[in-house]
Amino acid sequence: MEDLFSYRLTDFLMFSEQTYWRLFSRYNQSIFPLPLLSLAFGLYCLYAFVAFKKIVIKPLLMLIALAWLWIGFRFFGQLYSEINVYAGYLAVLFWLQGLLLLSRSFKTVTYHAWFRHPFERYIGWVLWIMALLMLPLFEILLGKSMNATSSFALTPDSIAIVSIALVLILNIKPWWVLAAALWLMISTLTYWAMGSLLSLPPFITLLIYGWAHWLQKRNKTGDNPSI
Amino acid sequence: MPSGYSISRRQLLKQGLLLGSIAAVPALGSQISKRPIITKPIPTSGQPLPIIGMGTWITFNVGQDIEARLKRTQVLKTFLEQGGQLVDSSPMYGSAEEVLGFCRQQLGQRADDLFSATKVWTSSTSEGRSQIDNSHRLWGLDKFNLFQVHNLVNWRDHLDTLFNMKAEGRLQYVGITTSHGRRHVDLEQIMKTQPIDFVQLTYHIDNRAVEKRLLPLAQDRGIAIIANRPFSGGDLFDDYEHQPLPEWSHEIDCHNWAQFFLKFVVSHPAITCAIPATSRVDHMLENMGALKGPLPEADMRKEMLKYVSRL
Repeated sequence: MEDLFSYRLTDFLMFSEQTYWRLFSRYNQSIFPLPLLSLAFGLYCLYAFVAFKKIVIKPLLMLIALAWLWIGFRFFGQLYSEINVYAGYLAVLFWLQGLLLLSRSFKTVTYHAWFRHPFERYIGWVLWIMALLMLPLFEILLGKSMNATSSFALTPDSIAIVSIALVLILNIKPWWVLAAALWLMISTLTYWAMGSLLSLPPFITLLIYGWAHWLQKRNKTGDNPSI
Repeated sequence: MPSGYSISRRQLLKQGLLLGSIAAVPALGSQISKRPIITKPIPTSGQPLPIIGMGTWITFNVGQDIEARLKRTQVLKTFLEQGGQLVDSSPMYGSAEEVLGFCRQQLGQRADDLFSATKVWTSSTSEGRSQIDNSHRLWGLDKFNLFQVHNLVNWRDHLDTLFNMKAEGRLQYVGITTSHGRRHVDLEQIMKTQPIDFVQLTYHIDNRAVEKRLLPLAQDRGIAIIANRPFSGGDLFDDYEHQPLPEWSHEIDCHNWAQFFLKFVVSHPAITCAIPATSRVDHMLENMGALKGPLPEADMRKEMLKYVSRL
């Protein structure tokens, strides 16, 4: 037991930050021009949220769910598994989250986003913008090359942030994206072990996720029945 | 301290960056390559082993990334050209074994002198056997020089397997490893009772716990010692790199902190070899500088400790 406590977080890190970044670069190249399409899609969704346009909720949730399944397969199953012997477990985590969101999308009956409280909605928008623009810009600021940045809703941190943004925007119960929160915790610890400030975006999102849980408990609200 | 470094060596050790120009290698290498290299005998056979080896934890785990693989090939090439032999890896290091196999293939006959050392790392005995087969396939080798039981995991069964391989002539040496100063009591028992050739453990200028019992025991029992984490995972550079080297360090041919730390480690009479890891050619050249020139004697080692403790 004494030995167990002698381990530091860095002892579990099997690869360098540079190698991790290269993984994103190779992943983005392999799916080009999908990152551009997802960026355009994310911008349109943001416009629709802000302008109260009609959003086709069910396909949106389905697309996000499919993105989870895809990232689990391609990023974790095929690429990350090259450098992390535990990547297979992460792939399963992403598939579970994808299936969970897929099942949630089948419950959806309306085409409209429905908001309980404007403040939560605003935080949701901020998270959406974080995944869309702030996260890639922050990564570039910290030295990542342009082609290695997080593609909107197509890379692990980005899809997790987008999913938690949706929880806030659509008033969905936070536990539907529990795996997203779990991944954000892993991502925070990974970057932390690397001594990288890139641990901040997933950590902040994780705090917001906790806050969404607390808010729901306080207000005793359930899922928005129409979404 | 090497001039012109904008990033600390610790960061680079952790990040595995290879920013140095490979083109600069021959010019730098020729400055130190003419002097004879220092070797120590493996106690159980007398085979001489160069005192600086190469680790692959983190640095060689680059997956299928061809660009990164070619850079690691240059690192291994430099290591071998400078007289290095022992390369240590493990199935626990992600793709490191596979990348080493790639590098060996790229280097062809130039990698023939490599002293291959890897580990078996699983709690299952049968899985251990298939892991051993897999390591042969990944490295592209028919026979390893050294197989070690990683972190004492299922050590009884794995040692049986390895001793059998050695008896059948399919393996040259058998060893066992630990790191970070863990499980020393168990390790001591194994050293006392098992006919192992090698032990790998953590030893560096800021962590000398093994000097009390394990290193003297290794000398008594005739066991070779490989010192892992000789830079404490890069922490030593964080702590001392900004300080000047002592003026007398040139007496032992230490021109940078890497050589200072390595020469301290390998000058202990019980230590056979140290295995620093790097992903940079210029850092490899610095490390290999410790393979040449005089080693500090006991008095000088005391001076080295005294100097570091004052910083």
